[in-house]
Amino acid sequence: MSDPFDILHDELVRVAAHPHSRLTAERRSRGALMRARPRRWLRRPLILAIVLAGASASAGGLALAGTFSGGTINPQAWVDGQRVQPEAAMTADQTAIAILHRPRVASDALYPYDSQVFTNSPAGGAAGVTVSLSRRVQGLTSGAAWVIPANDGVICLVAENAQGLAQDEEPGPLPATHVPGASGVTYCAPASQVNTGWNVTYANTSNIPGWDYTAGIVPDRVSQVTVTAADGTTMSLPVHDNVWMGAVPGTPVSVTFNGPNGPVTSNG
Amino acid sequence: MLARERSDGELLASGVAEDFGLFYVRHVQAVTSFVAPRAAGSDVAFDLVAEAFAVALERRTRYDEQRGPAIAWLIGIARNLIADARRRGHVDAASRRRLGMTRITLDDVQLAMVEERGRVDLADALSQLSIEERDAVLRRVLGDESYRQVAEHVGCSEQVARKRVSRGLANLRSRLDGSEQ
Repeated sequence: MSDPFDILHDELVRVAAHPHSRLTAERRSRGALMRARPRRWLRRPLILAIVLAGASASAGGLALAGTFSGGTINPQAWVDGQRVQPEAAMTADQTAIAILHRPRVASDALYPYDSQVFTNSPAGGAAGVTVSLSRRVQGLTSGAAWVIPANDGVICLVAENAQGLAQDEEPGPLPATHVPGASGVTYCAPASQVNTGWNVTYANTSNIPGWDYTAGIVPDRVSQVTVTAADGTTMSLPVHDNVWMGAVPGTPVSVTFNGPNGPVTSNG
Repeated sequence: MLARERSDGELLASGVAEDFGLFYVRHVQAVTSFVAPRAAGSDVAFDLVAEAFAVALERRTRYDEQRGPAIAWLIGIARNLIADARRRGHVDAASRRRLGMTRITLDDVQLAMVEERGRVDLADALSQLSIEERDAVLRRVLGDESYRQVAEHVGCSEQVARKRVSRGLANLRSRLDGSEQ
């Protein structure tokens, strides 16, 4: 008779590695879901999750060195020497988001550190993040956020509170000093996720005990979202330039907003 | 040279399926010991353990070693699931559904296996720790206190509090693993 705990073990390992799990379903269709925490971000409680697109998943662990034009690769492939060329033009999905089709100005540039991470680390390099097309969210009264296109219709969001921003602005070589209370979210996903609801679960602990810091992107003309925490508490967050961000009481489990085609609720 | 045991954070962050299996093996006994006395029956206890690890698998990228030991994180998940199950009248299977996990139906023999595992007494294992370690572990893991709060309450430095929790958890795990044999 099989030990049920062994069966559970095998089942967990199976879904962690094979089709039908949400994790690997995304990997099959959009590439690897990963979190990477480059050195400086280790000192900032910031979550980074990248959903990479492309056929690289089928290439598995092939470690072919070389540069490909466009597309995305598995972050491990980046580590193994593969590179992708960020695409100069955006897809229709990407330009459908107002913040990405407004003219770019100098103040839209990422801070050097974030630009460096997106360009020269598997966190962004594997997705072909086009840092030169970043747009900074306008209208925020605290903190800062950027929306950046990547290859294959992926878009990335960097959002951080005031402390995170202060830490990001620190001059000088690494390692930077950790700024207490710094929180932020960095997440890349297909632009289509904007319409179906940005994955609200990519939140991180905030500097307030029991609260999480969360952020996401919504379609044009959405002025606010409602985030629901695990205990049922809801909280409204304003939208600026397609982006909402803020601390919510408890673990966020869903986000709701009135989209162009009606109410949208994302439980992801 | 002995290989260093990989930390829970490393196992969770690696993205390798087998690493999550190692993480499961490392903690399943402690989670079962915590859950079983609070569950109405072995089937419910197993359901809770399964869902707790499914939630952990879904959220593995969110675990932050800086915030505390993984067992505290797991027990926090289990505690929320227990409270949720009491409200709903059944154990939520949302994470298992999302992950596409096959439902594990238990027969009488397997239910007896779960019951046996659940009988491993967490309180007994805790009682074998030193007073300092037990106090620190209970405050950190079950009381959800920060290391700073633990240090303030027990009158030591934060660094000592961390050591006591870490050592206490290691001892607890070895006692739980030993008692199942």
